[in-house]
Amino acid sequence: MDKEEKYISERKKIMDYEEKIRHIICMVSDFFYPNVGGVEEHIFQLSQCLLHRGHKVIVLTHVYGDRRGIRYMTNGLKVYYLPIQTFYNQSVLPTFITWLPLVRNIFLRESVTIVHGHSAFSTMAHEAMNLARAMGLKSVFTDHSLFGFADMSAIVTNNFLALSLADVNHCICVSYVGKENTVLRANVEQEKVSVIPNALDSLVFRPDPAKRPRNKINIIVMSRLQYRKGVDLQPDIIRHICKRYPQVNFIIGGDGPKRSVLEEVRDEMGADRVRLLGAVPHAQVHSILVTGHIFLNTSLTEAFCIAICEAVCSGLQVVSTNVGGIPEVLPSHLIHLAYPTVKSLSQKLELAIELEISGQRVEPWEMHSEARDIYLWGDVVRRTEQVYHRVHRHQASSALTHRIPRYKKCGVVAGWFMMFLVTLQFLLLKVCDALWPAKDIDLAPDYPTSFWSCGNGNVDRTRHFHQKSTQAALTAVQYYRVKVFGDNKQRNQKAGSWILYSLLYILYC
Amino acid sequence: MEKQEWKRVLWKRQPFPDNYVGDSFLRVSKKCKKVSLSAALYGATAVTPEICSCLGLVVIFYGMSDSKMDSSVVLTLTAAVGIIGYLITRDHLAASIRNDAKVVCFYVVLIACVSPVIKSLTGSVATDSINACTTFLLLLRLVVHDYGTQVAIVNPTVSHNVGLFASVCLASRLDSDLDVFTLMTVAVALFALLPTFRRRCRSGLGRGWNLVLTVLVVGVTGSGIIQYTPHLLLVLVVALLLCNCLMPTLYICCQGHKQNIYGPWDEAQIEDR
Repeated sequence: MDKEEKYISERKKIMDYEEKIRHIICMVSDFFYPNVGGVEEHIFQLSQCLLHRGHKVIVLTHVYGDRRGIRYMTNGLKVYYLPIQTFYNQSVLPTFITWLPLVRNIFLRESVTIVHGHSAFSTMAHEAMNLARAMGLKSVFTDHSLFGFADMSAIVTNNFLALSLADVNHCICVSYVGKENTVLRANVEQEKVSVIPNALDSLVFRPDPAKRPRNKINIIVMSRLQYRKGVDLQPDIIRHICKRYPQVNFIIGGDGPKRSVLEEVRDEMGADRVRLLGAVPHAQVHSILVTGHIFLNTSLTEAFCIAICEAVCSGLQVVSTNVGGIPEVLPSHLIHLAYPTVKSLSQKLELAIELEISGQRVEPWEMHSEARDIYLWGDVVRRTEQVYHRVHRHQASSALTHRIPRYKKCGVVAGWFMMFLVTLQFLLLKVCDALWPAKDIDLAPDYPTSFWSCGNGNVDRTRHFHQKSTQAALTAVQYYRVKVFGDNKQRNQKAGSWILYSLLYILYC
Repeated sequence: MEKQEWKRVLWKRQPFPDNYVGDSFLRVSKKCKKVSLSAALYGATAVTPEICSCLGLVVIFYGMSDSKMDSSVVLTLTAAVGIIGYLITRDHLAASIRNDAKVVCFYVVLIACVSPVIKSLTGSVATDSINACTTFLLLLRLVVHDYGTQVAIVNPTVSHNVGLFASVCLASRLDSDLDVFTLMTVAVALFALLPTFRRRCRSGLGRGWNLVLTVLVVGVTGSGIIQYTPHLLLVLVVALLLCNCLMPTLYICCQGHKQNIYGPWDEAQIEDR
C-alpha cells in the first residue's frame, strides 16, 4: 500500500510538472484554411484549444492563391503560407530537401519543440516531421484516413507512409480501426499509436424541433457527392422510400462528381420530394440538420465520421452504413446500422420512419443530452496534451547513427534509399548551420496573451470559448490579419499584431 | 481494485490510456485462397482453345494463300459447324430465329460488300509489317480475352475488335474476293461465336468432357498446322507448354508470397444490380 501511495504521489508530481510545461507546437499540413474539409477544421480547432491552454501554436502550410507569407488567425494563431507550389490534389511535390533551409529557419525562429503533422496525404507534414527529427525535435503524426492494401496505389502509399513513420515519436488515430490500419500499413509499434477521436461543438449542434415540418418527414443526406460516400446507393433508396411513404422528403446537401446521379432521381421524383442544396458551408450545416427528422449516411469507408455525431447531437435519428470506424462512434441505441446495400439501408430507413410516425423514437433533447458530452474539444485537447507530454518525456536520440538503423526495417530498396536521403539531409543541415548559424536567427516574439488569462484553462471554459470561436471568428479570420514580409519588417509585424490584438479585444468584449 | 473490461468503442470513457492495445486488436481476416496444382492446371486449359483459335486462323490463311485449301469447302464447313453450334446453344429457337437470321444476313452482306475493299487495303504496306502487326494483335487478344475471371485487364470489346482487326490484316494479303470473304467469316466464327459456345460448354459440361474437348481442339489445330504450315508447329508447342505447364507451376510456386490483408478499413463494394 505504501509503495502504491508513493507511486501515486510521484506520478502526481510528474503530472503537476507536466501541467506547467509550455509546448511550442508546429502544426504542418498541406490542407489548411482557406481550404475547407475535415482535416482543416480539425487543425484549426485543435490549435485554438491548445492556444487557449497556454501553449504556443504555429501552422505551416503552402500558399493558397494570394494567401502567402505570414498571417494571423483567431487568437494569434500564426500561419506560415510557405511559397511552395502544389503538385497533385493540393499536396506539394515530395522533394525531401528543397525547402529544408526555410523550414529549419522557421523552427529555430519560433523555437518549436514539437512538430505535429496531419493527414497521410500531406507531403509537407511528412517532410517537416522528418526534418524535425533530424533537428532533434519531437514529432507527432495524426492519421485521418483509412487505406486498403489490395491495389497498386495503396501499396505505394503504404510504403511511403512506412518510411515516413519509421522515425516518428507518436501517432494519433481517430478510431480503433484507424489504429489497426496505421499499425499494419506503416509498421509502427502498437504502443506508439494513441486513439483520440475527433470532436464537435455540441453547443452549436442543438436540436430545434420547432424548425421541423409537422406533417412531413425530412430525411437529410449531407456529404461530398462522390463514390466513396456511397452516392450510387442513394437513387434506389430514394425511389423506394418516396414511393412507399408519400409524406417523406429528401434534402441532400453537398456537391461533387456524382451530383448528376442525384439530379436524375430528382427530376424523376420531383423537386419538392428531393431537394438538392449544392455545397453547404460548415457554418450552415446545423441550420439544415435541424429541419430534418432522420439523417442518412451511405459512406463506403469512413475513419470516424463526424457527420453522424453532429446529426445525433442535433436530435436526428441516424441511419448509417456499418463500415470502418462507424460502429465504434455511437452507442447502438442512437444509431441504426445497416449493411452497405440498397436493401438493408432501405429497411433501416423504413424502421426509422415507422418509429418517427409512431412517436416511439428517442426524443431529440434526450439524444442531445446523451451525445453532448461524448466528443468534446476540451477532452481531445487534454488527451492530445498527454501525447505531447509523452513525447516530451520520451528519449529518442536523433543522432544520425541512431536514426539510420530505424530505416533498416523498411526493406532493402526503400530503406537504403531513405538512409541515403537522411544522410543527405544531415549534411545539408550542417551546411545551413555554417551559413546561417542558429544564434544569428532572430526569435519571433510571442503573441501577447495576457488577456486570455491562459495557463490551465479548464475543459468547460474551452468549450465555452470554442463556441464563440466558431461563430464569430471563422468569419473574422479573413479580415483581421497581418502580413509580414520578412525579417527586416519585424516592426511591421509588431504593429500589425497590436492592431489585430485590439480588434480582437473589442470583438470579444 | 475492480478491473474494468476494455471495450472497442469511442463513445465511452474508459480507464485506459489512449495508446492501450485491447485484446480485440488486429483481428483481421487474412484471405489467402490457396489454389491446388490440379486446379491451376485445369484453369489453364481455358486459355488453350483460344491459342488454338488464333493459330487456326493463321493456318487457314496460309492454306488459302498457298491455294492448298479450297475456300468454298472452308466456307461450307464453317457454315455447317456454325449452324450445328447454333442449334445446340439456342434454348428458345422459335422465338429468336427471326432476329438471329437478320443478324446473320447483315453480317454476310456487310462482309461481302467490304471484301473487295479489304483485299486492296494494305497494298502499300510490306508483308513483314502485316505479319508483325497480326502477331502482335493476336497476342493482345490472348491477353485481354475474357476467360471468365474478374480481373482488371479483361476487356471483351478490345479482344473481339483486336481479333477481327488481325484477320483484316491477314485477309488483305489474299488474292480473290471469295478468299477474303471466307477468311473474314471464319474469323467472326472463331472470335465471336466460338468463345460463347466454349463458355457454355465449360459451365455446362463436366471436367472430363472439357478436357476431352480441349484435347480435340488441340488435335485438330495440330493436324492442320502439320498439314499446311509445319513451320508454325514450334509456336504451337511452345505456347501450349508455356500456358499449360510452366505458368500454372509458376503460379503455384509464387502464391505463397501473396499475402493480402482484408479488414474493416476496406472500402465496401457496391454490388451490381
